[in-house]
Amino acid sequence: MTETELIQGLKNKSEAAFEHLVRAYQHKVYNVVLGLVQQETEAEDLAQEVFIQVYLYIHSFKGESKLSTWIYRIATTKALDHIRKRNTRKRFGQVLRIFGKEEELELPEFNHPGIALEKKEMAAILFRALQQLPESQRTAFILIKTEGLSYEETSMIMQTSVKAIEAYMHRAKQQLRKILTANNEV
Amino acid sequence: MKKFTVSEVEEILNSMDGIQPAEAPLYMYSKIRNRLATKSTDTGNSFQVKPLLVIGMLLGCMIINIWILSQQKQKINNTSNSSIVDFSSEYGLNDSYAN
Repeated sequence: MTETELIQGLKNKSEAAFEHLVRAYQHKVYNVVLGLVQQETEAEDLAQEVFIQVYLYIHSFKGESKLSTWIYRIATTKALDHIRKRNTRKRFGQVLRIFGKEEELELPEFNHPGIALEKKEMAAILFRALQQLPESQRTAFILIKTEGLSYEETSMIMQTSVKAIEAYMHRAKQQLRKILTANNEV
Repeated sequence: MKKFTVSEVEEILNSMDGIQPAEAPLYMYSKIRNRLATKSTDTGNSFQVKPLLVIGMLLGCMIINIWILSQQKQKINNTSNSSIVDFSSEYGLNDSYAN
């Protein structure tokens, strides 16, 4: 099935086209979302929401970019929205704590399933430090490092220039070095 | 508290090298289809429930209005009757009526 046929099938609400889309993109979407939210259950839930959104709003896909770019964009947007909501809950939880109500504030340590065993501990520290980066740097870092996308693909997903992505990556690494050396509690 | 040396920091930064993409959990497609089905059922219900709710609320408003109007009408009748009685008793017209 070519991309044009797939898009047309999705626009016609074809079951076969939708199944093909899910099977083709499920791992990519899950991997990106998992890298950003760092929690398996939440990532699975969000990945499902991404496909539901694609199914419901495929008519708004103008074909100006590749289908994969559009899907990755939905996935990153959903994941970042989710993180923002989680951070709001976290702040609210801190307020509740003042009034003596205990709330689960911290995420448990995240171990990415694709990391080799000997690197697991180091990667967990890196994922924790990543949470402190600005959204754009974090997104670029995850798309390039965990999904293995090129700077060009990443720039299209994030709707910016390749130069901007290079800058995000450079600053992300600098910032991570700073976090890891200055704040040893990551 | 663990202190990271410069070499450790570099090791941490390179820990994602050679990472394998995470695989989505099993039965993703079936789960999505289930969610889509639930979503459409929910939407169907909301379309059925909404008009019923609106009609019920309108009927409730009408009943309350009718009740208030009837209460007011009764009150006006009572007030006008009692004012006639007061007037007639004040001018001693009750007896003449009786006669």
